Amino acid sequence: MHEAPLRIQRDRDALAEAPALRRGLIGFAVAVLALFLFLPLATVFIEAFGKGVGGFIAALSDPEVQSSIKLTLIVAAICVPINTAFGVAAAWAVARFEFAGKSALVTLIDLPFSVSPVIAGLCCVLLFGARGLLGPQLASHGIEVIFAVPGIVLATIFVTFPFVARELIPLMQQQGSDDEQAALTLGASGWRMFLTVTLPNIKWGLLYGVLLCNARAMGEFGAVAVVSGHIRGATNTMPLQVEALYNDYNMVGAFAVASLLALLALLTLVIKTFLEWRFAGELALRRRT
Amino acid sequence: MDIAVRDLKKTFGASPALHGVDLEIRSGELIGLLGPSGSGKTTLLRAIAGLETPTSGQILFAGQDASRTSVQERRVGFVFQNYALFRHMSVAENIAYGLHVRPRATRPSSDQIARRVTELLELVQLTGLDARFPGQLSGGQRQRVALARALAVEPRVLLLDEPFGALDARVRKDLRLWLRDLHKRTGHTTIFVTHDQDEALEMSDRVAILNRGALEQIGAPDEIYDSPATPFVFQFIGDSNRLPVEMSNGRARLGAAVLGRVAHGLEGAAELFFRPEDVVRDEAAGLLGGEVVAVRRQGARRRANVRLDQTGAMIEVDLPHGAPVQVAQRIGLWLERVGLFAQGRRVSLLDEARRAA
Repeated sequence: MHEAPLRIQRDRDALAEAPALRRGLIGFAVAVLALFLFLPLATVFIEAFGKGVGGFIAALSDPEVQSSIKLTLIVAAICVPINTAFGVAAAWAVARFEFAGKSALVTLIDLPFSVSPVIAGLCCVLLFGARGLLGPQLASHGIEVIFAVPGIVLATIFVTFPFVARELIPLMQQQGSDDEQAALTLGASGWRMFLTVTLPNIKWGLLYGVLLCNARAMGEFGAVAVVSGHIRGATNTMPLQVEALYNDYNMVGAFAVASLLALLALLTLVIKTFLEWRFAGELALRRRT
Repeated sequence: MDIAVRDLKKTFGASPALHGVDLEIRSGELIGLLGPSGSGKTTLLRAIAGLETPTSGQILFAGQDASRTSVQERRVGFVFQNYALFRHMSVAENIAYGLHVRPRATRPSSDQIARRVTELLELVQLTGLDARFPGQLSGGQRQRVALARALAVEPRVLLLDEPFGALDARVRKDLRLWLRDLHKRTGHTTIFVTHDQDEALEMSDRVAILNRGALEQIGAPDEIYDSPATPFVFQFIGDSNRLPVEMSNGRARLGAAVLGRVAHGLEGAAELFFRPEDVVRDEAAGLLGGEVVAVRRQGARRRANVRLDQTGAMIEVDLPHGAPVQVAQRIGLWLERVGLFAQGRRVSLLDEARRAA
């Protein structure tokens, strides 16, 4: 019998691709990233400073722009705490209790992720609009929802609802309730247990969820576009203001505001990466695998 | 404090976890709840702690109904299987937790708390580790911190869920003796859950055996091992052989061999249980005879598998030192101690066949 000599390959992992293929794949990935991520991001900043630092500052000092920044901050300041409270409560209910309709609740929490934000906005209009279900009654009490700040807040709350809950549900399920029960057997009241045991156990996961929720609340376009009415200086949030300025061919203005949003995104990314790196063990399991 | 459990039932959804458990625990006793997984032992422990609400029945703490009182009011010390230490708190903070959360009126001063923590650390032999965090401790150390934390609140009863389940074999042995000793010194009424029979028999004053949500037997370790009350206990504790037996005309028979007399009126099938160590070789009076099929070493003893002539059934037999047997050898056997059960109830063998002197 004649056997071919075994070819010995050194320094090769059994699962590794051939070097040429590996270089090709990496090159392709880098090229795609450059084309679709770095280039647009660079363009945003280049355009924003198209007329120098002065132009950038002037664009941001515009009263309409200032109003849009203020509105965005207000909306985020209302939505994020509400959704944090909702998220913790929902995660608590799902992770700690067995009840009928639990899986329905989990699906419902995910709904805003699967529904187009525009539909979410439309639902708001159908409910609270001038001819909507509740709109006329509210209007008779002098409460305006659509084309006003409350509508924007409602739409944003809907869209950003899943972030905190989705982050906490797997985390709390994985941690189990032994720590909390231990606190109870030691005589702690429910509230005391929550503050001293539950909250410290979930704090990094919670912060992570709040961060993503905040980024989305400030950057939401679709749902807000439907309900805001685009009233400049009144109901335009930053993303809407970007569109408005762009449609006016005010490139510096549009990109100056856009650069603020981009900065927020970058900052979120940095903090998120830091949290993932530092507290990988305390964040939800699903990202570790 | 003495504890009584009266007809305790617990159902999860449609599946019952406990059906009607009665248990009396004397003050200062160390009780082991032993059973296979799914026997309801942890549910019973958690119901006593107040972490589980029973579907019906009563739990009395020192004669007073505690069934509807909250976990906090029951003042139990509970040590969880995975210790459930608060990982963001130091060892000292963990131990002090139960004192810190007391309402202002009954909360000790921070000096008193610090003193109590030092005392407890000494008691569990962890002096000097007060500033460590749970993540920096070994399994055995965590276990003792959990115990100190539970003892800090001066509990009326100490409840331990699989206290040694997560430890390796060597640490487990040391901690068993240590816990037994600690119990002697502190005198807390203590109930612990385990699935390890050696642990239960070695540590407990009395062992309660649970199976499928019901109490099979409760008694001192010797009583449990030497006179099991039910077929389940006979099989669950130690090794045992089980052989089908026929009862007719006031005699219990294994094949052709007569084991002894039974009360008249008892007829039909029964089950005979005996331990491998209670079988002795006896060629002369040989009650039973058989052929050695295999011999193997099991730690300190040598054990043979023997096929019985009477029914062809296989049994396990312990062999004494210095009495070698070969595979395929024929031997005569005598049963020193047996348990006979019909329909799950013990039947006494009267006038048991006597061994020829």
